[in-house]
Amino acid sequence: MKLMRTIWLRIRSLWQRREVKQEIDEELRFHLDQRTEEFIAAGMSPEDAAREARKRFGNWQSVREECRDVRGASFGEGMLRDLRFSLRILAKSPGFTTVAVLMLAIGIGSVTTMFGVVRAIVINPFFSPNADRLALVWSKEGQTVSTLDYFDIREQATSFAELGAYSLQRVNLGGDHPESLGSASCTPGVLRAFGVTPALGRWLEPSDEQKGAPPVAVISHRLWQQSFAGDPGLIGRPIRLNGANVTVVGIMPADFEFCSPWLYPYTCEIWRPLQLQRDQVGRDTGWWLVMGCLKEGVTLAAADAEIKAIGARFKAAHPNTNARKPFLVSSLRFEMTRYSSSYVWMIFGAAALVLLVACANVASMLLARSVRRHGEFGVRIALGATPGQILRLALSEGLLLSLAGMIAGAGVAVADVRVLMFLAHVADNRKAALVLDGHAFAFAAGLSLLAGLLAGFPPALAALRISVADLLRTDSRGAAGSNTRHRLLRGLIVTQIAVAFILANVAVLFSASYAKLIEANASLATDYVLSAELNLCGARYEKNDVQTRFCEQLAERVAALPGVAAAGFTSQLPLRGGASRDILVNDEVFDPAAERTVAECSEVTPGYFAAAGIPLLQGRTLRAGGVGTNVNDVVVNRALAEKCWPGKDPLGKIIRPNAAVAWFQVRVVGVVGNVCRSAGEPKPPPQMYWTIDRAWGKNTFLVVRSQRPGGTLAPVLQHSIAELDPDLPLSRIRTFQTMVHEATQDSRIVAWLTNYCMIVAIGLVAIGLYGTLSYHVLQRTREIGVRMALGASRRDVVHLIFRQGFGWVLMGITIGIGGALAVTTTLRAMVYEVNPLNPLSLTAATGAVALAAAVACWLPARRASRVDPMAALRCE
Amino acid sequence: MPTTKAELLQGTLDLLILKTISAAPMHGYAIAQRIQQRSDDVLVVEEGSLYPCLYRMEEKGWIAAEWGKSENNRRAKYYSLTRAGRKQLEEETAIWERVHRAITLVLQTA
Repeated sequence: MKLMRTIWLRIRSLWQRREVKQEIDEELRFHLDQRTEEFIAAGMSPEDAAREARKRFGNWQSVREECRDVRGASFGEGMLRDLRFSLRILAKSPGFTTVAVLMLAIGIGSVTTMFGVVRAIVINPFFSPNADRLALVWSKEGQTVSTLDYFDIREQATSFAELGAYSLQRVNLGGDHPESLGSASCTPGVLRAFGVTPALGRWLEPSDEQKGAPPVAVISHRLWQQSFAGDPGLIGRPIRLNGANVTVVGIMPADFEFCSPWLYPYTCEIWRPLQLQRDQVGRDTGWWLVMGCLKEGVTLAAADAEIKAIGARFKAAHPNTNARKPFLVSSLRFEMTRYSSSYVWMIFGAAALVLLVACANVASMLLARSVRRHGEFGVRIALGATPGQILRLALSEGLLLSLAGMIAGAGVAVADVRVLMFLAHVADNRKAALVLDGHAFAFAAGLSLLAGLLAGFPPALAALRISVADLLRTDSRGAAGSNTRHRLLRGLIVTQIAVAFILANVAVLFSASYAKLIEANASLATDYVLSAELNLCGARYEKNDVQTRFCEQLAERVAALPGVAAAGFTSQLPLRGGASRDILVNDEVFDPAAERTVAECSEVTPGYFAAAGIPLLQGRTLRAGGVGTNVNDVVVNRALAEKCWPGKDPLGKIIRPNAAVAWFQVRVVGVVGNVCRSAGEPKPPPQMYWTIDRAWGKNTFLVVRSQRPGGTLAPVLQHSIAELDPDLPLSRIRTFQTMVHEATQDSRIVAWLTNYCMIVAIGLVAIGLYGTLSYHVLQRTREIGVRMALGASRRDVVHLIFRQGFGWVLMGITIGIGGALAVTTTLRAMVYEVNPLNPLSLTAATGAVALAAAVACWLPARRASRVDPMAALRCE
Repeated sequence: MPTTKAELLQGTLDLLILKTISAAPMHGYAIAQRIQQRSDDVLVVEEGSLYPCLYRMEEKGWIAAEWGKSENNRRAKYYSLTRAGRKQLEEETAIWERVHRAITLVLQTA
């Protein structure tokens, strides 16, 4: 009760300072008036009475002040006074102030930047009014849903307010500059689930899904602005998609973000209706992504349970196809952040550690400076300053520095965000979300308050321990409070070293991981191979054999070009996953419940292997069309050969599909080297390559190996294609080097950022160690003088100082090792092929910290060795 | 009549104030007057120290303050005793009596 009352009074003093002061004045005035009246009643004249009353009261002003102090109403003015005083003191030493503000600015700026990144990429990875309720239905982890399953779920599930199916493709937009764009064919439920209204026009409707309905499309805001100049008359006009005229019926609003798994790094610009047929399809046909919006109040777990129950019913009703489909629901937010969130949080943590080091550094600098203000604090205490007032004064310096640090840090954060957006491949909408807004600045303000308190606390603590009696001694070097100060300084520098060590360890780990990644993909990363994407859409390529013939023709033409060593087509590039199938080998029979080998299937022309540089290990590659071609040939990679026929000769073996009816039967004719599906994959998956006529998609990639670095070939390639089909755009022309570069981008950024944190932290530690050791040398000047007078050489003094410095470093590293081990075990999942606990990384980190420490200790040690013993002994 | 401004210890002022308002709530001026009256003009409260003392006691929760109307219809702050204050009053009175008895004993021995 008493505490509440005190708190209430304090709060009142802060918020209603003027009222509290007026009340105090009113009460005292009342007293004075009563006293005056008493004197008047006793017979004095009014002026005399007033004067006597005043005299009797005593010093009016000081009574008022004292009352206000007791109430705490003068806190605000006292704080302002302290701040002004600290400002003057800081202005007197601009060098120190600049360094301290810079340190805090870097720390605060980095953490604020990461706060913005966390918000834009992990917490709100996309903007939508229904962001919390968007969810995806899968038949299995990472597996799509078939047509009939989707229709049944749509009828039976009650958890979803909207549900729709879609698939992602590339389409060719005709016109003056044909381009290849990302697109989604979707049922109307998908767009409705996102909960935004079109900027112009309408959404897709069920009527668009009917057979024979006129082809329509909804386009994105960005496409509208870029390719159609924002013309509002576009609604109702046709555009040329895949060679056919399609009417534009709607335009998405500017902030609409269509997020989907498997979309990165493309963006979806066009949405077309999906015409799903219910009849005449097998249970297993159809590969749709299913997205929906949960009803209000339905949790993800409840929806998941319901879908699982429905999946169990499917399994019972159709054991042949649904035996291994447990079905699950995951939220869109989870899907969009599952791979990046742990990295982003880790870098956020690293930035926070950097700020911690900066605060400790500033605190130790303030602590060392407070030696000079020793006398001042002593006098204040002697004059009656309460511990609270001393604390306030000591903290105000830290708060001022952190305030300046926050302002400078805002600039650092803005610059950091720019650099990040330049380094990382970020979608436009995410770039807009990454802008530092009011929330970020509020966060920065709170952070700088915390930093200021942290930085100001150790000197405040040291100031409180001053005893006035000790101050009166002339020997101020050995003055009281120095014990506390020494311990605090030591604690601060050891903490900084430990934290810097942890950061160094993390940085070394991620750098090693990135180096290993580059090494693993080194064979692919060459400038001499070019890849380009072709979309064979439209009526012209409707028939499969037309498509096949076109590819084969084009491959021959390109291979015949001067400077080209080999050319081929493939349906999926290395380092990008694609289609995979379950296969049966040897004596295996179709069993819906059994897990079979999953093989990645690529449809290729024969020249592909030579062009991509995939070595032939056994047998032969596929043969070109013509006499002797057997479309039942297949080439497998080493991983598949070792998995299915370990120790045996794979040539001549048969591969069948994992289905009730063996609709293909292919014979192995060759074995090629392994190619990874993604840059960070530890083991390449089993792969099989067969002839291009089996390709069912419209997307295909041309791979060309040239005798000169690939960049020069692009216009020649365009020309060759234009001869065959002028409307067909060649997109994403890049060398394999660029491809590997883009695929390893994430790992590279993480390595850069952790290295940046490590360098900043080690730099701060070096400065802190230099400062602390200099202060230390100053304290021990007399001792050093005595030692030198007693016969110590300069070298001995240098060794003495180095020993002191490295003693701290050793302590810091020992503590840091424990922390580093704890941290890196949690990072195990995030590094590629590097054991987090390996001694090499610990040694490297130790080396980095020790090197910085050695450099930092050098100057103070030299200064110590230059001490003139006579001057040292005399100068107390 | 000349009054002796006895130097009152801070603690004693607390005790006097608590006792004075234990009877009825009063404002600061009345408290000072009452103490002077009851002590036959011996104890004259330093008015400069009265109000800070009252505020401190309010912080400690021994007395509670409320604005009210004085006898001559002016706004004045009335202080009353809280339950904690009553207990404090008892304790301090006991201490004072012990001290008083001890000093008397010492003075009696010739």
